[in-house]
Amino acid sequence: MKAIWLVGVILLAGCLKSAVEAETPARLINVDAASRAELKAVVAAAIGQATVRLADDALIEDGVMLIERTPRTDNLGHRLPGRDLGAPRRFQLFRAGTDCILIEADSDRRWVLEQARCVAL
Amino acid sequence: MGIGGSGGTGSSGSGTTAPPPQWIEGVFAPASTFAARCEMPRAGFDADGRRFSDQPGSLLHEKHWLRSFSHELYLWFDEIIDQDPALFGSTADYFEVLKTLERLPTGRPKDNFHFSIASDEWQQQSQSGVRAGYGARWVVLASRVPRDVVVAFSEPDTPASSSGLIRGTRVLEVDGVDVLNATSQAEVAIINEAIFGPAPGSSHTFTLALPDGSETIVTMTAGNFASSPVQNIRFIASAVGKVGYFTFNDHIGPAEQQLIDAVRTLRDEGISDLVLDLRYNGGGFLTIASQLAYMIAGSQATAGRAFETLRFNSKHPTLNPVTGESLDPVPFRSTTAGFSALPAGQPLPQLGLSRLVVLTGGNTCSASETIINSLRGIDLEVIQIGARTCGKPYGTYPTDNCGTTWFTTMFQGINDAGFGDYPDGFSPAGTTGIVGVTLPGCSVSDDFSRPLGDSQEARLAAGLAFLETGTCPSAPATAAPGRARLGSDELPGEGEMPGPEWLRNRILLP
Repeated sequence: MKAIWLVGVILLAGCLKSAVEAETPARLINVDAASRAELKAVVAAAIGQATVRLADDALIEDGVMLIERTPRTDNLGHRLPGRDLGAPRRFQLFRAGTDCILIEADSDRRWVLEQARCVAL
Repeated sequence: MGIGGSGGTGSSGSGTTAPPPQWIEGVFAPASTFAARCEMPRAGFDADGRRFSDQPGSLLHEKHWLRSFSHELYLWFDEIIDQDPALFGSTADYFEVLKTLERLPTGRPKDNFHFSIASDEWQQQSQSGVRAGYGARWVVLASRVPRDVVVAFSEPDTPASSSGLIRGTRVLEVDGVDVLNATSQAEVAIINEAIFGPAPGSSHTFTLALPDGSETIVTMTAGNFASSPVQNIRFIASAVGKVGYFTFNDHIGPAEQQLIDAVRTLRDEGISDLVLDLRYNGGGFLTIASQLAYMIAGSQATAGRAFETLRFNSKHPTLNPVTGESLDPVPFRSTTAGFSALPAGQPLPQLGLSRLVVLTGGNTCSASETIINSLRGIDLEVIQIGARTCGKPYGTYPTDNCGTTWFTTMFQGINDAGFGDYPDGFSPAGTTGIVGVTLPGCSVSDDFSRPLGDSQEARLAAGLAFLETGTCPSAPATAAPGRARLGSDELPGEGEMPGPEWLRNRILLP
């Protein structure tokens, strides 16, 4: 019984260890049209939009991506809103095993990017 | 019906068109009475996943909502002339009269900020700072023949920077069309599309005049490129010590991290003064402005002081009518907000300066002006070099109704000293024409002949000279050729800086 308990503890520790390792900050590599389209679709769905404009090198450099309202200008060319009381939405890429996972910081919602390849930072 | 008068919509049972509301001059039903009573109700869900609450209504309901909404929240509600909504053909036409018609002492309209946009367009989102184009930020010095379009700066690692589009580069031809002199609508459309609205992946050929007078032809392929809001960090030796400098172009999310990095660098370098270049900064997140103001002034100067207090109209002296929160003074933000890779709540670095030089122009607006006003509110000396800022101490909560998002001025930002009246902007001493709140400093044209951050660039040079001598350069600082904006009092070289989503057909004109 004691041995079983010990094995259980070891297994649990292993699980915890892998769980800790499971989500390592990461960045994208070998981005192609399919993975770029998937990322765009995932982010658009996450923010409730049909589409979203992302940088051509999104998540390739640092794995963190901020999303905010596309700036507009009024009839005089002033930025709208010039005094924005809000905040951007932050997404970060993590690697878990071979999975590339996009996580929204505030909500902790997460999406596995099936088409993506990523490396830990 | 509560307040009575204009209203009479009856119950809001789903699927039934409410009876038309009646207008009684000076009598206003709550805006909620008419909210989401739409001529064309939307089905489905909004960006936050909530089902649209639209109900069958009419154009008249929508106009009555605008009327009551404005009466409740417009900053100058008591200056609106109450008119019968039924007399106006569209909500847009009616919205145009739901504002003050008064003018400032300088003759400019008191309210320049009345605006509306389709809600689905307003809801569109992008990765912070990402623009479609080549990575160049253009300034339009003359939108009509002979036109003048010049590069203000290029973002690093973009087609613009790799193609040599340095500051001061002028566009002569695009895809074979004469940018300066083309007159047909079709040709102007080609120019506008190629310069300001190229589709990602499309290639266009430019004939360019470089600042040294030489010409070059480049072909660039447009893409979606992220901007770097903080650039050109410099240390400049001067008679008053080491002066720090950087350009701050946009209050977007990534600016938090970049500003922190810049301030740390400047602090570690031991600067005694800072020149903050805001000439192309049209505003954005107020949180970023508050953080930067804190980092400049430091914890001691900002302790217990207000960065800003929002002042709504006289009906709402204590509570924010939109959020319901108390209208307490907002302190300077001394920690990260989690806008960047840094977690929220981390202490910000600080410079602890007692004076600041700001480089400004007509594109310095909103949150950028708040930095100036908030620091003046805690008695930090602000020296201004350049041209008058845009003059927008106001803000709003963009509000959707029936598929249109309405921008009506709701509040004014007040600094710790109780000041927020700068509707004509801030002007450096020596400004002619329209003059805003005058600050010590120098009126200096934008100088496209030198890079930003170059100590010989006219505005930066004037700032350095003012720090050393307390006076402005004796002769007007040289600026590249350029003409003032149409009908403007601005200095030569002050132009429009088209944003990424400007209507393409009204940038350059036939």
